[in-house]
Amino acid sequence: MATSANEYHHTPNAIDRLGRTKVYVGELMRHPVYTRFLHWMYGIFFFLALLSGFGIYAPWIFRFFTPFFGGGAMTRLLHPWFGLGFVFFFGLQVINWLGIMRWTPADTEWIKRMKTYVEHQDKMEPPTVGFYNGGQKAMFWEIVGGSIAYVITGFIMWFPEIFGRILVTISYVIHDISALIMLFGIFFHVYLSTFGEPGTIQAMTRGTVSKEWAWTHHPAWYKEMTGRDPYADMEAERERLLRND
Amino acid sequence: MWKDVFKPIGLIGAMMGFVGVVMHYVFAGPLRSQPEPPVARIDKGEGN
Repeated sequence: MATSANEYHHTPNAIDRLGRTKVYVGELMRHPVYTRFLHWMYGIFFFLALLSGFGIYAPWIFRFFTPFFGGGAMTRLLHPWFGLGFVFFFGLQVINWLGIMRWTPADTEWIKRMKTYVEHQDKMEPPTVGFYNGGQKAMFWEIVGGSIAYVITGFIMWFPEIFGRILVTISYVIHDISALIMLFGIFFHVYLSTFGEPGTIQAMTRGTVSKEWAWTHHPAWYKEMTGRDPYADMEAERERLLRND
Repeated sequence: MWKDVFKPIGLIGAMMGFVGVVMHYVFAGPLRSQPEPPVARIDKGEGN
């Protein structure tokens, strides 16, 4: 069966050696230290760029953000540097995740049945869902596209005397649209990693997930990691729970 | 045109993402890891 379970290969590096990942019984290793470090670094820069960008995009509403960055002029000065920080660390994550983010036919199928996912019609994901599902990959590639747009349009806006008024005006619009799409998406990212799917954020803090989480949300990855049938293991656990009642 | 009309509309559109996830949590609730604990009772709005 074709799955989206692309293999993740990572050789421990100097960043990994700075931390550790403790995997308790009943858990699976999800993200090494390096992945988690990159995630939180570009997460910090994303929110710095977002908040400073709010003050520039709509000062009539978000003027109160700018004092946190040292005033309006300083906010404009810092915003591109925050953006570069985000793109730098996210770029390293792109290299890190290139293998597991490769689009597969299973991801196209996932996108087609997204309604069942949103409505929780299936309590467990289909057997084709591997390390990441189609929605996660789609969001990842949207951020890649958005980041490329940010860099190109950002440089044009940073040096307007070189590129001219028309190009700068077009860049403002593209930059803003990219930011709005990413802002729209970040709500889903934060929601699904916290309240929406409990147990998810642990993957990016401690680096591990419970086996129950793994077979529910990423059955093909669970099978790949353990060599066991995710649905049979879930049924066995359900029966065990019922017997305890 | 972009500044006066589409910027505010775009901002409202992006914020709809926040409204969307809140509504999803209220109406659909979280997708818990399986198996969920046995259900004790489902309130369908008929009161106590």
